[in-house]
Amino acid sequence: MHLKFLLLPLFGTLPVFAADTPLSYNRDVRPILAENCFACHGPDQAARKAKLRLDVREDALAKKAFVPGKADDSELVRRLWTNDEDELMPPPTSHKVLTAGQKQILKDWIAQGAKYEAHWAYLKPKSPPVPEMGAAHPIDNFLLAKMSPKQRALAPVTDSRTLSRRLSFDLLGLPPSFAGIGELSADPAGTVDQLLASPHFGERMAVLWLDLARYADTHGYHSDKTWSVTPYRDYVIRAFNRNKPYDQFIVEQLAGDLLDKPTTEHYVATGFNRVSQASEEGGIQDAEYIAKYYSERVRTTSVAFLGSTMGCAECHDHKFDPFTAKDFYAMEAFFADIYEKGAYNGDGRYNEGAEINNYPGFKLDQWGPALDVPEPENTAELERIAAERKKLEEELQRDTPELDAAFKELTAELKAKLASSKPQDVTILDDEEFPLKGVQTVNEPVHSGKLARRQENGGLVQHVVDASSKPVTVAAGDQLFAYVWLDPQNPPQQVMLQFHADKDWSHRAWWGKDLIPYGKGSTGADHHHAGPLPETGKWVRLEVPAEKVGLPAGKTITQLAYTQVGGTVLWDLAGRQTNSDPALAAVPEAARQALTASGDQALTAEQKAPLMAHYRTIAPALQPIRDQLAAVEKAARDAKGSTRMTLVTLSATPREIRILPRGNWMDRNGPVVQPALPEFLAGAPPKDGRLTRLDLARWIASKENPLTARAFVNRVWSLFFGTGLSRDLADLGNQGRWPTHPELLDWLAVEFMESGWDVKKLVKLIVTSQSYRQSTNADPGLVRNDPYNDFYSRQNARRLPAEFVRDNALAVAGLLNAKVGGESARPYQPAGYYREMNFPKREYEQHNDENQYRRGIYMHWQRSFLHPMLLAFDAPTREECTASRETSNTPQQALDLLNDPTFVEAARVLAEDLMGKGRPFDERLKLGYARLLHRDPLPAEATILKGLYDKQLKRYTEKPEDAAALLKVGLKPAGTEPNPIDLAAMTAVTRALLNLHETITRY
Amino acid sequence: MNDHILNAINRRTFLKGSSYSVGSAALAFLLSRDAVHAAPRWQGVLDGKLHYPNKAKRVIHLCMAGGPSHLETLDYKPELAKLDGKSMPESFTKGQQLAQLQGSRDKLKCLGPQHEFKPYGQCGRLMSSAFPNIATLADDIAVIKSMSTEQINHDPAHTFMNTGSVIPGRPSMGSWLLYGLGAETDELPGFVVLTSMGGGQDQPIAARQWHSGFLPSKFQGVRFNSKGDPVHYVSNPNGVTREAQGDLLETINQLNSQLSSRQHDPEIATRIAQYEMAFKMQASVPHLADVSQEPAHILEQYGAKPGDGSFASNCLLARRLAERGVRFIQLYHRGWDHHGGVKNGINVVAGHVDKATAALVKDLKDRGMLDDTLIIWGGEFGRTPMAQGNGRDHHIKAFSLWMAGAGIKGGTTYGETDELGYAVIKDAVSVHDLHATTLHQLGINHEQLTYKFQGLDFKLTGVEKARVVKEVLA
Repeated sequence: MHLKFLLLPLFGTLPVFAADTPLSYNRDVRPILAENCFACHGPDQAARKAKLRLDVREDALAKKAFVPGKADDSELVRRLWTNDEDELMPPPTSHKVLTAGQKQILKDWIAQGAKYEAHWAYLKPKSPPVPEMGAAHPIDNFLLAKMSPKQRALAPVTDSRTLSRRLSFDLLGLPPSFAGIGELSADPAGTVDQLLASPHFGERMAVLWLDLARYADTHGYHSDKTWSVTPYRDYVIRAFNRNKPYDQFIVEQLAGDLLDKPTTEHYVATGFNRVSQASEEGGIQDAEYIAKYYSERVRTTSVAFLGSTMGCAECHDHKFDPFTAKDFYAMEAFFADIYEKGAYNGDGRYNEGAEINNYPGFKLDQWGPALDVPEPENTAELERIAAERKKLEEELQRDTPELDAAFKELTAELKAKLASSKPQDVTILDDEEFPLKGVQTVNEPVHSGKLARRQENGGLVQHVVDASSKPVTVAAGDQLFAYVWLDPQNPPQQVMLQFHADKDWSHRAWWGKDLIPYGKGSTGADHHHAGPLPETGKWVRLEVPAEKVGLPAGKTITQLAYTQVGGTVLWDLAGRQTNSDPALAAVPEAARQALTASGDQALTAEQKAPLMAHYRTIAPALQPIRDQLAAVEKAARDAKGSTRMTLVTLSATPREIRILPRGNWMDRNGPVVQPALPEFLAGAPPKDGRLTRLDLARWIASKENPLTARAFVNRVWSLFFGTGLSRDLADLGNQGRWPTHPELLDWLAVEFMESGWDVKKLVKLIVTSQSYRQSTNADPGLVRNDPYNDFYSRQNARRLPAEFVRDNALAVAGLLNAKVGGESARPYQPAGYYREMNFPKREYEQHNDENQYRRGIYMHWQRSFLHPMLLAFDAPTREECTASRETSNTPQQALDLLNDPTFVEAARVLAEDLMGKGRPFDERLKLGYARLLHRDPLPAEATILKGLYDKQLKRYTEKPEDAAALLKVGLKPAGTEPNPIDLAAMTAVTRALLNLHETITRY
Repeated sequence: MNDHILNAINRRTFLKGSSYSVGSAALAFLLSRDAVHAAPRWQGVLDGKLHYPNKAKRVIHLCMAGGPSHLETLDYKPELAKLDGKSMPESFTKGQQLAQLQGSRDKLKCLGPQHEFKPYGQCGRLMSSAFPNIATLADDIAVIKSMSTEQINHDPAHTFMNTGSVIPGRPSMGSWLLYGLGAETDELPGFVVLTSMGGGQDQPIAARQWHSGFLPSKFQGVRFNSKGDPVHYVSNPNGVTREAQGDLLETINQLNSQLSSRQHDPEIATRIAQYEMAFKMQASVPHLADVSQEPAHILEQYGAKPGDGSFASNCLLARRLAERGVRFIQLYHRGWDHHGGVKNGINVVAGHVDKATAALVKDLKDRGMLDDTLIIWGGEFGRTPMAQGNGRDHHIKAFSLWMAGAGIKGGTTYGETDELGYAVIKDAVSVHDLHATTLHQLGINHEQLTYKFQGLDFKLTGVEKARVVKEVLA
């Protein structure tokens, strides 16, 4: 089974140790040394024992570890065979034991001269000549060349129905009956082209990429709320559908924002950097989480693009590969400019000086910089609306004599009102206008109404009032106030008023000592110092101009927070002081100042501008234009149902990155590092000055990079053969696996790069080989000799990935909603599944419309509680970059396919469809087999299923109420036409079909 | 008669009993499975070859989630009482990581122990009087007062406690045990998680706490639900009786058998075996979860009301799971996050866990199962000696937990903290040490239970040196 596969040495079955073949350091020797010796005698300086390193020939020779050509005189050989436990290598305490065969290899290798080679994956791939084995396809020739002369043959090509099913699942993740391919024509390449042109090809490929990119719909840590990043997922799908060159795909995701004149698409792509886990847990420290985010990005970037595991170098130099701790932190430094926070709980700070207003078109979501992205299908409509709006706005700005005359009247009127009117207090909160959760209230003393809110604490404490049920819109010139009573016996050190507007808490005013961490250090509207602590023992009014806390006219306050450090404070009436005259209240602050400043005089041109701008918003003569504008804006808003927000990467002031000794974020003693590429791979830096993410991205996406193409090609190969040419899809490094077919891997990598990183071409190249088209069945003797199919002399059978198990059932039932892209979908899920979640508590709300039937790739991806069906079928939670999925076979899978309403409903709908109008049983079955398994039922199968059907007919005839109950499973109502007893019995048959091993397996 | 035989008889009885009756063909099919299909139960990567003679066959981890205050439970600090309300000496906290108290670093005050401590048992260990029932276990349990951890917030601290790493994607303790040892049941998952709450802020718990990480997903923990299906999708669809489901299972497995004669695919045999196990689980899980079958005095002893989802009911379920061969049983009680009102909070949470915890240990003892069941009781971190209002903040420099059963030396108290309970000063025990000790009791050398992932040999105890805390072992 799978586990054993992982534990056995790959080449245990291969005749690579033939005495006449010279040993290869990379193939034969390095794996032994890496596994058993390098941990203490390798690249990690700190862990090195006896100052001996065996991974560098010169160093090993300098320490006289061996004598090339003279195995018997070599210390290394002596240490392998000694009986002295103190001298034996590897030492018994390491629990590493070399086999006799492994010892012999080391000895022979020394005898042959102890030649070293650089690790294969760190050398640039060179295209080897295609072996001439007489096959038409280069891949076949490479595979045939590796087979032993006695068994040099591919398995026969599988039958055309199996092949079309294989191609359909491998290229689209959907059954051939849905894809509309029947038996294959003589030229399967035509079918391949047809499949590659399908919009579902991108969805299939995205399953691979989204695991690597750790894409999810929730932020992960602690409260694990939903965030909006679906446009990034759709970008990935679109990129594969449009066959975006892979090098471009890399650059856009890592550094699209740094390209010259980035497009919306480029920004959406940078969601890659932002979909990693984030936290808003109370009490977390900004610096700690920033450190977590950076190190996660290095792990993901190195595994996803390079097939390298740099993660180990966070705490120490890599033990097996030449990555150093400095490389790790220098890689982190590339990401130091990402506009983000560590703690998204109010304590965290964005990069120094980062201000979203300096990035026109972007906004600050709770989770940082974001962009509203038009749905691709609505781009034209939105452009039309924008053009019309521009025209109307120009019209609105036109000056006419009539307008000017009316404006003069208004000015005079406003001046008169200003002279006579007085501002008044408007209550926001006095007693229980809003829910006061977890707040202690007292009846004595109070300032007004019946209650005051009492807050006492030794440290930082606050209460938050949620006013979103009655949001408060600020008018020009408003003062915001709150009454407080400070206990003279136990005064606080600091009090603070905070206002939440536009999903942002950075509107703060404070009195007293500067202790509260929120906004600390700033002198702006997010941390306005309003004065000393007020007098104790009496009710005092804390008051601040709304503008001072960044709330100009028109801003809407949805929450208020009252914070103190220490002491006892009573909090009472809160409100705003505003001008009671609506005409005046509507005047913006700048215009009001112009009115006041001009006094009795006529307005200067400068004073006129803001007031005129205001007048254009109210002038009756302009009402028709404003109406038209409103209509256009409504049209834009309606189209807004067609925009979706997504988190993006913006570049801000880079944070300082230091090497963290042993990964400890609190230790600031390590040296500061600048962005730098791993030295042993990249050589000299590409330019002077600070390198950017774009430099990193371009280096990764370069043909000079030895890892990028190999890592990708290896994974694409595994999609079509079930295993990579190098088995470990995450790690091409020293601890990875020597490829079974290194020449083929390199040839494919070079072909891929030379084609302009053409993904579809690569896929077509692989699936048009005869090797791909082989049968999964092979001669039993061959299976015995090559149990893990290292020679690829047959195809590998594979269970479908979780998403496609679902897609298949929905597709054959005719239920599948094949829409590409869009919001995530929430299919049926057991009630109460989220009960362990909190902040806030939540209930899953399933979709009750056509979104119920969307493809698995669109299922709401909740990191902390992934949908049980996805989890059961080995989909990863995507908390971390995942390069390969396990393929397990568990009772949970059986329970899910048997009883999950998704599959029961699909079976029922399929059954009804198969029944048609009076179709006899054998025809129903034939149709069902064609749809699910792309073949006819065998007579024995038909007999078994007929037996089941008859038995259920009898059961449901005896208990028709059971039939009625079964037909109610799922949202889609059963038709009125079929006999319910028959339909229930037929549903048992289709449930059986949906549960077959063959149904969820691609042969 | 031993438990194994009893269980086998029970199994057959309920399969044949009227409420669980299956079509006779299906029944014959099910009961013949061992002979027909060659997919034996996973015996663990150790395949029965333990590194040491094992004391424990299973583990029950009573995870007191939220961070129980060691100062109100197991670690008595009279000096702290003397400093109550006074400034916390800066020498303790300077340069140390604080959580929510970070903002008032220069105003830290001590909060004296909020509950009385008394000597209990032959050993005379001082324990909090707020837990009178757990106190009666004084001579059965070994207390470790010198735990510390690396993570100061709930989510990563649980991840560290469960997986030995703060990086997501690593296997949890229970998954490691299934990987190493397998389970002693064919009808139930080998790693079961139960949850309850009450007594404080119910901090969320993510499924990553019982995830198998990079280990195969069959080693994942399965969370049982107190409402609805105990295990997801364990109930038949509406309108499908047990008999009808039996017909279906028989059909599926017959068709799969047919396939295996045409296709070379070893997964088919496994699939057949998994469908059989699923069908058995459909009967055995509801049967297991139905604690109303327990005699009244047992329900009373635990304080459990069937179906209430309480910690008490979960303790009783834990015993039933242990009896049925489940390897790792983890109970989370979410109710220990006492930032404010720690005195009353402890009283409330004690009301939820005290009686049932003691009942579980005694019940296992009465049944002779305590000898091979390792119990671990504790949280993800401790709480500050400093006040946060009248509560305590998260604290990583010291906390306490206790272990019992399976070769644990009852009555032992190990490790010491300083006079204020701030930091460990003697016999430090890390989370990795706890893991090493747990594995040791199960017969596993923690250095040797490894799994290769991304080119490295990973183990539960991580890369730092970990030790078995022999001092708490009998």
